[in-house]
Formats: sequence, C-alpha cells, structure tokens
Amino acid sequence: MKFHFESEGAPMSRSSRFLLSNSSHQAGSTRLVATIIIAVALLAGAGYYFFFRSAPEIVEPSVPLPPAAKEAKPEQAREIISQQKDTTEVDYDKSYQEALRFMEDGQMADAQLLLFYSARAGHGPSALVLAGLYDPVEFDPATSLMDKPDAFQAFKWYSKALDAGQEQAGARIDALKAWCETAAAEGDQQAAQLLLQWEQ
Amino acid sequence: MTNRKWQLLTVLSCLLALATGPLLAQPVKPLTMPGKTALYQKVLAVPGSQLYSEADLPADQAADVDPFSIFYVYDRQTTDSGEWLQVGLDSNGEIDGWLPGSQAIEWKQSLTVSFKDPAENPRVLLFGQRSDLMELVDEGDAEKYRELRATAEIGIPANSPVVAIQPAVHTEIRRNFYLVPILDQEDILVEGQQGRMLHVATVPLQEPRPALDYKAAVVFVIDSTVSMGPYIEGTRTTMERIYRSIESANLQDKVSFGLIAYRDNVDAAPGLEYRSRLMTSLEDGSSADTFLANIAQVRPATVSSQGFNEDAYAGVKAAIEDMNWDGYSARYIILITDAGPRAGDDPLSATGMNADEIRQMARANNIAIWAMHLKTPSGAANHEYAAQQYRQLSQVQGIGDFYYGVETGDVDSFESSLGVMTSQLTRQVEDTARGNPPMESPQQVAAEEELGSFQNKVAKLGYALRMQYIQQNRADAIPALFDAWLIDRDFDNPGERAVDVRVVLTRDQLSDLHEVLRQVLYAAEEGALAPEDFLDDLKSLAATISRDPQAASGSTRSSGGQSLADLGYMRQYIEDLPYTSEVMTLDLSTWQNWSAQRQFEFMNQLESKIAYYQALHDNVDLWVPLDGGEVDGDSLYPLLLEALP
Repeated sequence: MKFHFESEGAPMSRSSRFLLSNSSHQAGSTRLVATIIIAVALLAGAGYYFFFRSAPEIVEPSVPLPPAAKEAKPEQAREIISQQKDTTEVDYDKSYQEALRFMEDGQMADAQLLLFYSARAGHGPSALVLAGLYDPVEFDPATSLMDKPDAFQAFKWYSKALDAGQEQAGARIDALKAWCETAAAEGDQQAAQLLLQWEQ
Repeated sequence: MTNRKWQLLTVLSCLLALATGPLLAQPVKPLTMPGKTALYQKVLAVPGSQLYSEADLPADQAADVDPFSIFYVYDRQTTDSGEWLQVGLDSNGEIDGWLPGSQAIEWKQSLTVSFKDPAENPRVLLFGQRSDLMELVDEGDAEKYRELRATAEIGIPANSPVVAIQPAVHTEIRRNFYLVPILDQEDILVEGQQGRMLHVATVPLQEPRPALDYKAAVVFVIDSTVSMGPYIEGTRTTMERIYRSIESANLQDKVSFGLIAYRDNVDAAPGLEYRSRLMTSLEDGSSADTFLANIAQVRPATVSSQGFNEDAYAGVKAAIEDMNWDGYSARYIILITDAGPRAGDDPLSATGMNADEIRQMARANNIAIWAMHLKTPSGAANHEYAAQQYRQLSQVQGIGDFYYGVETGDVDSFESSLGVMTSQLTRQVEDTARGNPPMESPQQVAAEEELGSFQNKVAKLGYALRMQYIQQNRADAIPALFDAWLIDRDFDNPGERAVDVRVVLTRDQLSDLHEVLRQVLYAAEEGALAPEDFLDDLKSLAATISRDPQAASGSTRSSGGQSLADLGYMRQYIEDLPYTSEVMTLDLSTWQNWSAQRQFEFMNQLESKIAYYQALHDNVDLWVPLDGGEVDGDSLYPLLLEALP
C-alpha cells in the first residue's frame, strides 16, 4: 500500500550531527572549509526542518483501506502513547512521525489515534494532517478510517493547526467555509450549525 | 438571668443570625414536577387570562396577560372558586401574581411545533378532532388530505374537519419566537414512514366574524417651521393619492386622518405664532376635502426658532391628548420633521417630558408613534441626536423602533416612502374589512433596505393590533383556545418532516447540558487513548456531578446499566421527551472493545453537540427573555429535538 508523503524530512539528520561533532578536530584551512560546509549544511538542514515542520503538505491516503482496517483497534498507537506518557517530556514530533509511518502502512486506526494524541496537545503538523482526514472538501470514504467527513472536526483541527503556526490551514478553512455555505443551503444540518459557530 | 448569660445569649443569637441569614435570603423556588427534583412546573396562560394579586379577588382587580405567556408555578391553592396558581415569569422567586387554574395549560414537556417555510413545503392542516385525522392516516387517504388543503387555502368551510391551516407567510421561529404548544403526541405511520400525531393548543388566526368595526386613525404631526415647506406640500400630495385609494376601496368610514402642526416656544421667538395647533380632527379627517383643505392652510413659519431643535414632543403630546381616538382599534401618530426635539430638561420645552415619557403616554392610549426624520444637509450636526431621540420615542416592545430617516431630506424619496407606509396601513384596514387573516409580513416589500425593514415592522405591528382586536371583539371577550391535531409528515412527501418538534429549553438548562457533555467528552478522549480506565472514570465523574449543585438537575432514572443515562448523566429536562438519545443510551460497557472508528464517531458526535450548544448559548439574539427584559438564565430557545444529545 502506498501513500503520498511530501513531508518526510526529519528535523535534522544524524549525519549532520556527526559531522558537527567531528569537525572540531580539523585544523587550519581545512577547518575553515569544513566550518563553512557545516554552516551551510546546518542552515540547509534548519531551513528544511523549519519549512516542513511548519508547513507540511496535507497527507492523504491514496489506496482504499481493507474493511478490516476500519474495524481495527489502535493497540500499537496506545502502546506508543503509554510509553510516551511515562517519559518526563513527551515528544510529539515522534508521535507525528509514527503516525505518518502508520498511514504509509495502511494502519489508519493507529495513525489517527496518534495524530489525535499529538494534535490535542497542540502539535500543529499533526492537527493539520488530522483535519485533512475529516475535510469534506476532499474526503474519500474508501481511504479514510471514518465513513463520513466531519466538517466540524475538520474546522476544529485546522483552527488548532493555524494557532500552532500552520499557515496553510487558513486557506483550508476558507475552502471549508465555502463548502459549508453550499451544504447548509442544501439543507445540511451540521453545516448550518457550523456556520452558526462562524457567526460568533 | 445573669449578665454573663445575657451576653452569651446575645452572642449565640448573633451567631444564629449569621448562620441562618444566608438561608433566609435563599430565593423561593418554583414547585417541581411530581417525581422530579429540579424540573419546575410550568404553565401557559390561555388567551384572555388575567393575573390577580391574590387568589379569589374580583375580576376588576386583575391585569391582562399576553396569550401563551409561560409562567413558573410557585404555589397552588384551592378555594371555593377552584384552583389558583401562584406564578412568576422567572424561576428566581419573583412572583407576578395568581392565575386561575382554569386559565392555565399544564405544559409538562415544554414541546412546541415550528412550521417550515410554506413557499417550499405544503401547508400543514390542523384538525378539530383526533379521530378525523386518524381516519385519514389509517386509510392513507392522501387525495382527501390534498382536497382539504386546497379548500382550506381559500377559506375553511364550517363543515370541514379542518379547523385551521398553517399561515401562508413563513415566520422563522429562531428569529421571531412563537408558540404552538404540544400537549400530547403519539407515534403513527404515514405512508409507511414513522411519524407523529401532535395534539396542540392554538388560537384561530382567522377572524371569528366579519370585522366591520375595525377602524384605523392616523394623525400627522408636522413640523411647520421655516424649512418644512416642501415636505408639507409633499404630505398633501401623498394624502391626495391615499384618499383616492381609500375611496376606491370604499373604506371612507374605516380610516381617518388628523393633523397637528407644531413649531417651537413662542416666548423665545414670538413670530412663530403657535407652539402646536390642531389643524384637522379625526372626526373631520375622514373627509378628503376637509383634510386636504386644512393641510393647505399649514404654512411654514416665516421666522426662525431658537436653535436647531423644535418642540416636537409638544406636537406629539397634543396629538395624544387633543384628538378623540375613541372607536379606533389601530392608532398611529406619524411625526414628520427635519429637526431634533426639545428634550424634557430643555428650558424651552413645553412638556418637560423626555422621549420615554411621551412614548409611555402614547402606549397607555394604545397609540404607536412613527418618526420620519428628514436628514437635510443643513441639520447634519443635529442628525445623530435627533435619530437617537426619535428611535427612543418610536420604540414598540417586541418589534423595535419605527424611526425612518430620509437621507439628504430628498423630497421625492420622502413622498414615496410616506406613500408606501400609509398605503400599507390602509391595506391592513382593507384586509380586516374583507376578513382576510392577519399577516406578520408585508405582501410587498420595497427594494430599499431601510424602507423594507420598516414595512416588516409595520406588518408585525398591524398583526399585533389585529390579534388584539380579534381578542377584544369575540362574543365572550376571550378568544377560544382550541385543541387541534396535526401530523408531522405530509402525504405528498412522507419521508420529510412537515413540521419540526422543538423543546423549549432555558439558557441555564442548555448551559448545564453543555457542561455535562463537556466533561463526558474529556473522559471519552482519555478513554480512547487509554481505554482500560474509561468506565471507572465515567462513574467517578458521575459521582462528582451528583455532588455538584447541578445534581438537582440529575436524572431520576434508576442506575445499574452502563449507558450515560444509566450512569446518571441524563438530565431531567430531557429524559421524558419523545426522542431516543443516541448519546445517552449507548451501551459503553464494551468501550474497550470498540474500534477506533467507533470511538471517534462517538466523540465527534458529542463534540459537535457541545460546540453547537456553546454557539447557541453565546448568541444572545436567539434567546427570548420571558419578562421582556435582559437575556438571562431563564430565557428560552426552541431547540430541535434532533439537536439533543
């Protein structure tokens, strides 16, 4: 099973850190060149990290899920969450990465629970991906854990993502609002209720 | 007794007073329903109800009550004349008086009907006998139902089983609250679809008999100072047209016009000649010739008054006091001016009255005031003050103000607006004379937004006056409240609801529901991440809620099961309603074995309700205060049954 991933970048590669830790033993011009290379590598790494951390593309599963995947219990995700809760500082980036891996493997129950876990704690990239899983604008029941889209959940998680600095969530919210206006005019109760909340 | 003992007693009594003080200060609470701990007894006042300061007082010491006012019941007494209910409009202990039990409807479930837009849905029929409607339902006789509706849309014959039909004009219940209380309901099948037969209480919208005596009086109060010449002439031109239309509709004896001209304090500017002057009385004003001749005599002053404000309130007060309004059911004053009024504290004011006082004086005489403000460029600095004063002056409770500002004082615009408004009034008189049912919306609305909005208010005011007139003119002086039956499905489209059933909740109840669900959601979210503790957490939470002051709102259901209702989360104000709560009745004992999808569905459903309740709660415009004051915890909102958890 294959999913689109356009934000696979880790915050910083292990090789970069390794290079940094060894560069201090070089001498003279070699040291200067190495320092420049390291600095460029660091800047590139940091830019890469910043760009993808703050603005991941929406991850969308592209292949239909088998029915069993929809009925699955997210035991692996719960195990990860349980382990994380035991640590002094929860690493939500790690949960996010694990969620993406589960999505790639078609384990949507585990993926969605992990995304929910980290998004609930304010992790922007997780909130953005989770919102996309509910978004009626592009919802596909065949590839989603849920049978139906949920405009309210999409709105809630896009808003959280936006609050956490995921600026592309703003455009998604605009598209969602346009969808709601059309749906409400056609009699969709949930869309009408969501619009009422927008009026606040 | 020794001094020491006295001292001790004094200290003890002080302590006792301190201890009991807060208890004594506790407000009286309404009676609760049998078997409930905090669900208050509520009744609806039937049309023609009267409120007494004490039970058994004579009728001449009673005050009228608006039909279908909702009261909390604080006490019940039975005297020789029957049962009496001590009632109040809120649940905070404020008693309004005593209502005879025969003038109250027990409204146990707080359910009401809301109609759908008849432009998009067939109109609903109300039957006088349950058996007649049930027969149609049992036989699935869609054709007969259609025939009855087609007939009722024209006029309901005396021998029809139909006693009323849904109004032709739609009223959005969320914006304009109305009540068609449901007294009882039962499940039925309409063309194989599950539906409900609803037993409601209602009053007739149609006149009980031809309304030959409904008459309207309109008194123009016109500013006749220096700058008003074009508008006086514009009023005369408009009135020529209006009189012609009245004559062609043969309504000369049903509508009359009066005229008061006013200027300002003549002591401050003697050349003004008069402060206010009656130009045409209502007795004379039914004649077009007299009115038009008299208005032609109104000339603008030749000298200026002191300052920009004029003594408009003197003119309005003269219209209230000097006109003979007897015999007119609909009474209007139309103030036409380009200047602000002299307020009560202005030394040059003749009345010494402010806008509120004048308005109350008019209201006591059942007169509605409209203000047409000509916003000429020369008075720009005065516009804001004048508009604020006239909005206050023209306020009508439950509808809004009848202020209309004519931008730049454009004469053509003034004439056409005045024509539209006056025509609407005379059309209302014509409708009444012809026995057409009162309508809450105008038949035609002007394209210009402010004028259209004004017309809507005129329609509402006309409707209220018509309803008031109907009630006053019934043979027994009390319009008959009648029982009716309707079905919430239409034979032509049984898959869709023809009417909605709503539960009228107080803001406090919605707030309580919101809080309970919010706590349940939190527990469910934690339970999704670590399911093993979920049920125990819910039970602990239920115990916390039951220790909370809101425990009084808790369900009376027996516990022992594993649904939210069984665990004690059901609230009394929703537990006996005719709907099945998916959230409350869901068996959570196997939560641990649920798939992630099912758990998410449960949480998402819960959360969307919570967010919706929050939005409703915060949208103050949607709430109806029972006492007409500020929105508070007792204010009401008709929530769709389907929107309950």
